[in-house]
Amino acid sequence: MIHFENVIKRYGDFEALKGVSLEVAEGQLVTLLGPSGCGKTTLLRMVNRLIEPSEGTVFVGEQDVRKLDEVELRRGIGYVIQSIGLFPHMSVLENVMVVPRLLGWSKEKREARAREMLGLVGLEPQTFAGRFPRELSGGQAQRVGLARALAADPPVLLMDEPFGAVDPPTRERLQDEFLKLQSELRKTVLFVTHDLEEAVKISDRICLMNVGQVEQYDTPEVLLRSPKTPFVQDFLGPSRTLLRLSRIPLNGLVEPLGTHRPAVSIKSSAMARDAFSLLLANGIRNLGVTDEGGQVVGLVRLESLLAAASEEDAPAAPVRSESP
Amino acid sequence: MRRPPSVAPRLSPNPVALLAAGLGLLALLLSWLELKPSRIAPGEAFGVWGWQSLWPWVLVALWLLIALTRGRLQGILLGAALLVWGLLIGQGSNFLLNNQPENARVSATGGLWLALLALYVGYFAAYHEGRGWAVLSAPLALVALLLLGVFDRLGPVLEFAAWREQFGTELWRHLSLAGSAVLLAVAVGVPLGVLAARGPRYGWVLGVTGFLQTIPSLALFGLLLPLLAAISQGLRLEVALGMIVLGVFAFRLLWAVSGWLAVPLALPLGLLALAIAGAWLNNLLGPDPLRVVLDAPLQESGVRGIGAAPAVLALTLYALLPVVLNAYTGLRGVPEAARDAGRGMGMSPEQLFWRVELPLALPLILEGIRGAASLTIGITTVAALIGAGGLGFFILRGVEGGAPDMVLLGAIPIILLALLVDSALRFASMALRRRVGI
Amino acid sequence: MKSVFAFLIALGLGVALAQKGPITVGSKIDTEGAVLCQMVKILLEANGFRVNDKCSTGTTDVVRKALTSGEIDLYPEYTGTALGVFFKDDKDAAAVTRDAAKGFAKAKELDAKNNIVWLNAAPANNTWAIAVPRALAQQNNLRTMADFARWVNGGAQVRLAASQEFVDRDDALKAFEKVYNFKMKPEQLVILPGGNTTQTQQAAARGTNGVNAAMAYGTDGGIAALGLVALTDPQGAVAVYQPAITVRKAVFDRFPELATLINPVFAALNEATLSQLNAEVAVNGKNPAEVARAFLRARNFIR
Repeated sequence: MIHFENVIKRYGDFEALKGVSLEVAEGQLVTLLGPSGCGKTTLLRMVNRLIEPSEGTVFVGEQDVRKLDEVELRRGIGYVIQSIGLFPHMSVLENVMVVPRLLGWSKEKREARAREMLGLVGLEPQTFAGRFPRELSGGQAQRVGLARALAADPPVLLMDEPFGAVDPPTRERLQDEFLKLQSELRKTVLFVTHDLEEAVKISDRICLMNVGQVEQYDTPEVLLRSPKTPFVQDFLGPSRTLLRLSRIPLNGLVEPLGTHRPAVSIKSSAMARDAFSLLLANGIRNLGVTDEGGQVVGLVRLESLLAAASEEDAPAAPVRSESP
Repeated sequence: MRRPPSVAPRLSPNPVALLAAGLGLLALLLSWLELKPSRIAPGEAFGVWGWQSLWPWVLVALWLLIALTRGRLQGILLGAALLVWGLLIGQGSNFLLNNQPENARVSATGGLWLALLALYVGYFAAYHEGRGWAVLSAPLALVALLLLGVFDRLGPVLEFAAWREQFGTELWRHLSLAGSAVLLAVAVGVPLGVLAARGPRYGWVLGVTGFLQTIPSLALFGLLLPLLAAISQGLRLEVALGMIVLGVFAFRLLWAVSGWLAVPLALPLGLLALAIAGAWLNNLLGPDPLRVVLDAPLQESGVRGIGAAPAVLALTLYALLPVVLNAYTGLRGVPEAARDAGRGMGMSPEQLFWRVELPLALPLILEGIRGAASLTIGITTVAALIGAGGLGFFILRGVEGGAPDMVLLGAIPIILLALLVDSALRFASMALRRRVGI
Repeated sequence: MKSVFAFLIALGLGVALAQKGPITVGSKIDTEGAVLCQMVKILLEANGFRVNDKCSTGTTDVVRKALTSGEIDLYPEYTGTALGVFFKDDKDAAAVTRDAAKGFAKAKELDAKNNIVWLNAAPANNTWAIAVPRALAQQNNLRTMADFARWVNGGAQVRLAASQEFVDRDDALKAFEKVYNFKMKPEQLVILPGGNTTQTQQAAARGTNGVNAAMAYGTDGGIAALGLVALTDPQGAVAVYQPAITVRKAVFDRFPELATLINPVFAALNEATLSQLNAEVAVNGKNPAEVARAFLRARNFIR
C-alpha cells in the first residue's frame, strides 16, 4: 500500500535519509522506530508530501505520489501528530469535520460522520461536540485528533508519535483502544515512535532506523529474537527477551492441569510476559490458567516460559557481547 | 480575566476606592474654577469653600463613604458624587459670574479635573465591586447634569455655543477622516503584515512602516501638498484609474520576476490609489459631498493637494504600524502544530490561511486595529493643518488665539471619542479572544 | 454603475452652470485670517458666486503653497510677509518694507511673476509693536517707542517676551533699536519658541517670569482686553504689514469683478475697525462668520 523506493533526503550537505526502501502491506500497522534524528519523521512526512524526497520515489497504492495533486493526496490520508494540532478556534465537532468539509460533503453528512467518529474513539458526542480543544484533557484531545484523522475514512493513516505527550497510564489505555479499533478498521498505518515498548505492543512490523538508514525491518517477534546488527541489539537492550514474551500469547504454553493445584492463576488471554512477571513476584514455578469464566483450566510452567523465550534465538544471528 | 475570589474581610476597604477617595478629598483643597474678565485674559482661581454652598460638605461625606464601603453600593455612591460634583460646578459658576461684565468667563482648573479623575478611578473600584453594572450610574448622572444645565456657563460650553454649527461639521469630519484612515490602514496593513510574516525576506515591510511613523506631519504635508497638487491638476481621473489598474497587473508580472523591480512601481501608484481612496472614502462618510467627475482633472473629484486627500493619506501611513505589527505578530504566533495539521490534512495554502491562520491571528489583528483607531483619533488633529478640518481646527485656533476654552472644545471630544472607540474595540477583541480561546 | 457616474457628472455640471465660480477661499489659521476669509466668502456668495470654504487652510507656508499650486484661489496675505518672507532675497524688496505704498507696489509687482494678483490693501498696519501693561505705561509715561527707549536706557527692569523671528529679523526689534537708539540685553529677552503674539501678550499680562513687555501686532484684538497698551511707532521703524487679498491670476482674469467687489470692503478696514472685528472674535469669542456678516451688513456691502 505504501512503498518507498531508494528514498534519499538531503539538507545541504547533510543526508537525513540515505536511501530507504520499504514496503508497507495493506492493512498493516508498521512503526518507524529509532532514536531522535534517525529520519523516521522525515520518512513519514514524505508519504503525504509534506517533505519531498531528494531522490527516489514514494508510492501510495500503485501511484507515485509526485504525480498526484498534493492537496488531493493529503485529503485521502489520515494524519495525526504528537502535538495533536487541534485547531483552537474550532469546536471538537468542527475539528473532526475539517477534512469532510474540504472534500465538500454536505453539512448533514459530515456532522453525522463526525459524531459517529467521536463515538468510535470513546468520546460521548453529546458531551464533547461543542467543547473547545482547551477544555479537553491530553487524552481526550488525542482521541479527537484520531477521530479527525479517521473522519473521511482514509485507507492510510500517518501517525507521528500520537501518544507521546500523554502520561503513561493514559498512553497505555489509548494504545489498547487504538489496537482494538485497528483490528476492526484494518487501515494501513505508518506510525512513528521512539518508544520500544509501544512499537512492540502495537506493530505488525517494526522498521528500526538509525542515522537515515533502515537497520532492520521485521515483525516484532523476529526483531526481538534475532537482532541483525549491533545497533539493533544495543537499541533493544538487555530486556528484549522480556519484551518478546510480551508478544507471545499464553495460550500456546498451557499444559493440562494434572494433579497440580497452583495457588496463583492468570487469565488465558494474557501474554507470556505477564505470567513470567507473576511467577517472579510470587517466587513460584507453576501458574494456574483460567478461562473467561474464571475457572482454572490449565497450567503454565516456568520451564516452558524459558523455552519460549530462548526458542530459535541463538542460531539466527551471531550475538556479540553487549558492551564493546 | 477571572477575578480572584475575594478573601478579605468585609470591612477592609478596596485599595482603589481608597485611592479615589484620597484624590477626591485632595481635589476639594484645590481651586476649581477660574474667573477671567474675557476668554483670553488671565484669571483668578477660586476653591469650592467660598461659594456659600453645602455641596462641598456632601462631597466630603460621599468620599468617606466610598472609601469605607464595598460592594454594589459603591456604584450608587459614585453616581451621587458625580452628581454633586456637577451641581457644585453649576453653583460655583453662577456665584462667580454674579455681577460680572458680559465677557467674563469661568473655566475649569486643577481641582475640578482632579475630582473628575478621582471619580474615574473610583469607577474602576466600583466595576470590580459591583460586577460591571455599577458603572451605569456614570452615564445616568452625566445625563442628569446635562439636562440640569450645570455646565452651561463654563468656558468650553460657551465656545461650543459660538461654534455650534461648525462643531457638528468638524466632529463629523474628524470621524470621517479618522475612520477612512483606519479603514484604509486595515485594508493595506493586514496584507502587509501577512507579507511580513512570510519570512525574514520581507522584514523591510516592518522597517518601512516603522519609519513612516517617524516623519513629522508638517514635513509630510509640506511634501504632499505640491506633489498632490501637481498630480490632481495634471492627471485626469480616468487616466489615474487606468494607471492604477494597469499597475496592479504590471505589479503581478514584475513581482513574479523580482520584488526589487515591482516595489518601486507599486509605491507611487499605491500612494496615488490611497490618496484617491482616502478622499473618496472621507467624502462618502463625511459631511463634504462625494464627487466623481470623469474626463476632468482629479481635482474635480476632490483629490487635491490640500484637504482630505493628503490628510487621510498621511493618517493612513501613520496608522499602518500598529496594524502591520499586530498582523505580523498574530500570524507568527499561530502554533506550528495547527499549521502542520492543516497542511497535512490537505488544506491548500489559501484554505490554511483563511480557515486556520487568519482566525487564530484575528484577536491580535483586532488589537492592532484598536491601537490604530485610538492613535488616529488623536492625531487627526493635524488634519486641520492642511485644510481638512476636524476637531484639530478648534485646538489650533484656540492655541493661536490664546483661548484655552476653545482648545478644550476640540480636545475633550477627541479624548472622549478615543476612549469610546478604544473600549468598544477592546470589548470586541475580548469577545473574540474568548471565542477563539487564546 | 455607469448611470451613477453620469448622474454625478450631471449634478456637478448642473450646479456649476447655475452660479459663477466655484472660487475656493483660504486663509491662515489665525483670527484676522478667519475674519477676512469669511468676509470675502460672504461677499462673493452674496454676489452670485459659488464658494468653497477652505478658511483656516493652514500655516503661512501651507496656505501660500496652496495658492501657488492652485489648491485655493485666493487668501488674505500681508505686504510685509510677502516682502520679508517670499521675496526675502530681493534687494529692492528689503528697501521698501517700511513704506506702505511702495511696499505694496513692490509686493504686487514681484508676485505678478508668480501669477498672483494683489487686490488693494486695507489701510491698516498689522505690524509688529511692543505692548506693555497699562499701569506700567501710566507710571512711566510710556506712549511711543521713543518713550520705551528712554525707559530702557534709564536702566528700567524690562523683560520682553517675543518670538525668535521678531528678534532675528532686520526690520523688527533690530529696526526699533536702531531708529530709537536703545539696546535690549539678552537677559532682558524671553524668547517663546514658536511664539505668537497672543502668547507673548498673555505672558506680559500675567507677568509670567517677570515679563512686562510683549511683542504684539498692530491690529491684534486682544491687546486692550489683556490690559495692555501698544506703543506707537511715529518714525515708522519696522516693516509695514497691510492685509490684502492675493488671487491666482487665472481666476482673476476669469472674474475681474473680484477687484470691484473686494476693494471697497478692504478700503473700509482701517486699523481701528480691524482691531475691533478681531476683538469680537478673539476676546468676545464670537464666530468669525457672524462678525464678518455683521460688519458687511452695517456698512451696506450686503443686504
